[in-house]
Amino acid sequence: MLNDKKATELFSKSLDGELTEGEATQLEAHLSNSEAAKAFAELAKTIDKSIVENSGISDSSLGESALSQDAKNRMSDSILRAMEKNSNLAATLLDSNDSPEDQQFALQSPKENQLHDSRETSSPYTIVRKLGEGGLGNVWLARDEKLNRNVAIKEMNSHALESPNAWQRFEREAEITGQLEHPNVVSLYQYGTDRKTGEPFYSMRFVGKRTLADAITEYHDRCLAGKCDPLILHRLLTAFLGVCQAIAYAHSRGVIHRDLKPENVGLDNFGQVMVLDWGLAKVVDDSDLSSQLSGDVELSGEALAETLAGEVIGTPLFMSPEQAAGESVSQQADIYGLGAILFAILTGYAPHEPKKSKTSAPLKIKEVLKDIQKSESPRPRDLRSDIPIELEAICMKAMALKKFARHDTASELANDVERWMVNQGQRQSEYETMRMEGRELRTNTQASVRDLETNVRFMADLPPIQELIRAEYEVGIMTCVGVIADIADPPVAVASGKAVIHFVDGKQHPHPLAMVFIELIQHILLGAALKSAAGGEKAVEQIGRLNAKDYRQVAGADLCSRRLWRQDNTKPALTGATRLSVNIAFHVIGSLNDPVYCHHVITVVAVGLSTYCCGQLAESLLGGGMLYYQP
Amino acid sequence: MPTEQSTPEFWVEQYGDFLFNYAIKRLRDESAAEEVVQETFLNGIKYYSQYSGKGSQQAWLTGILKRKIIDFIRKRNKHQHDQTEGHDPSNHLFDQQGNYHKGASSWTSSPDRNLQSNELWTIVKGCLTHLPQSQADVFTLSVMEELNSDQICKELAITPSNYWVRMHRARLGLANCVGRQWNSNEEAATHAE
Repeated sequence: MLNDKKATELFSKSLDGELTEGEATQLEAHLSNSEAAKAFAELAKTIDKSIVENSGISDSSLGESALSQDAKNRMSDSILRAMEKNSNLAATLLDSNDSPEDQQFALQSPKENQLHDSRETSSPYTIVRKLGEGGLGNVWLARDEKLNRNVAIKEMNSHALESPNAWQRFEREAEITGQLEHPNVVSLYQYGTDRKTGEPFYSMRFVGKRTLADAITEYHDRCLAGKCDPLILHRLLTAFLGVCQAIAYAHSRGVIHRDLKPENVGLDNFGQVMVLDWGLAKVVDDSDLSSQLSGDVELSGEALAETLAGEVIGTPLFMSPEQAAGESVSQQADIYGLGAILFAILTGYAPHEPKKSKTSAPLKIKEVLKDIQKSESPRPRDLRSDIPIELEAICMKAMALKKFARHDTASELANDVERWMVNQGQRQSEYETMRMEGRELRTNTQASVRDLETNVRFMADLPPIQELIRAEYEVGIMTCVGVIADIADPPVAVASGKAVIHFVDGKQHPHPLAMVFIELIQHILLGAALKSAAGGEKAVEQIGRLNAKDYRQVAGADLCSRRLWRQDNTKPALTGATRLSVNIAFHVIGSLNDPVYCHHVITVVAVGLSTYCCGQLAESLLGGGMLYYQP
Repeated sequence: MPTEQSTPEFWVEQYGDFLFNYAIKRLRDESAAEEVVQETFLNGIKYYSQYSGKGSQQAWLTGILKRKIIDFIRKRNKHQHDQTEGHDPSNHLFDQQGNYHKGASSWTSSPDRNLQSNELWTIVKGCLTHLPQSQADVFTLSVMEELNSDQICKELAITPSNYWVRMHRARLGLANCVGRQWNSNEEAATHAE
């Protein structure tokens, strides 16, 4: 006889087709008797079916998991390394039917990578992945195994290796970068040649992959999405100042970058800015580079020798007019380049890009160069009207068509931008202050209007006070008020106030709000008494504040304090303090939710006010003429 | 063969995700899946001359990958403590007479309820990761790779009885896990209504 456990075992076997005939019969018999075993059998079958259905890869399931780009890069690199370890592997990649051209290409791939692989064995660097590719070479992320840090390695690409000029430029780039020691110029660690191929490479500080171009795109994308953040613009401009300082330093060493653009400015996550890619940099005299670089004398534009006369060098969209014309360039070309970067920060476009993008025709380099030479750049505000005029003026000055019209130095340009940033901060602060004051004024006005409305409504709902007084006369209200009126001594007035309350209430009243009201009466009476003495008005004002505080503590409302601080200073202090007290009284009695009691109280307040202050005051305070007390 | 198709970048870009998907379903571990895919590519390059060109490159690489997965599971099982003894769902499900404890089986709801197949697969996939590795690996090789018991015993160097114990416990564990999640999903759906 099977039990459930044995049955599930048999069923599990049956799914694998391993059941004997006898076992199958036994299983069937058990399943028909045990609901639980049957349920298990059905579910197990469903699970198996689901797994079988999903074990393959359909188009719909392909998106379930995917290799990360990092993983792909790692794989490609490891495969390349494996290929290089076995020189015959390249050949095995080729099908026997491949054309000779194909064979040549396929064989070149590992050869291209021999550079970093053999370097890997002769130097402490382990290649991690490719970071980027330029006209002159490729940049790899590598690990310095000795110092246990990431570095960037730049090497010439196969195309550049065929050009003697490119070799020269590569070496010069390393030399210039190595000798420019500035916090905003990327530090070069090592220059060397591959032992196997003799091809040059150099390692430098790894800043990260993010460039100013990425940050600019991010900022303008946010703006397009309606989430423009002035703080990001401030950061971009701060980074720009760093670039200006690096270029000012390079100029002071007789070096002109000649390829300034956002892509050549590296940013890390901690605000560091690095000017990269000095491959097109020009030095005063190539033959004596080191002496120039080590000198402290700032060289004038005229003194800068032309090394590549007639050759158009740089990135067209950020290029200065003189570069586009293939003329001799001076540090003013870099000033233009800085202006172009500022233009990109402000607008999100390269200076000569917008006009081209409006036409669908592809850009022709010749036309772009001609355009740069002949016409002024578009104004930043033509693209974004919210750009501050002062910043636009700085940008346009740096990008002036005529060299003499630009800033004299990169530092001067940086100063202009920094000055604008500082002024902007001050203006913002002033604006914030004004806005806060305006907001406070508006809040106060609104509160006053609300209070007035509340009081007027409250008073309008009351029966005429005269009627009330007459109605309550017989129960002794007026008598009590009369008693109060005759009391000139504050302590006695307080006692009388309590008596009034108790009398009005007709019984002992322990309610805290009632006690607040007693306090209120005390203060009114005390204030009135003090008023007759020297400095009485000031004392009343203070009492009013005390009163407000007490009320807030007991009743938990802050209305009274708001009212207190909203007193109109142009009116007598007594007016404000008393008005406050009356307002509090209204709220207290409103909270008691007892109309008859409220009537008593308001009557007493009105009488007290009229007696100790004056009838006119009571009139003005209690609803602007809604309440008249005529003794 | 076109030149482009012989470059490592092309292979990784073209087949990487497919192979990774295949591997991760069987190994349930991203880094393990990445490792076997990488080994597949390396082997593919090494033995590229053996590729006849009759089938697709993808199918050829998948063949290599299948082998790599089995190798990986074998290594993993060799280095792992055999958890067969440690995790026996029968302890919780059956009484001393070998019958279900009352209410122990959580798959009492009707299995033919209108459960989307992808929803079920999501539950099954999650439950597979909760199984002990030794059970899940045997189960995967049997159901996903469709290896028979003899092949699996040979590959993993285990006895047939050990194989059946692992398979049975894997099925019980899966049914228990899927049943529980199924019920909780159903309850959630009821509450939502």
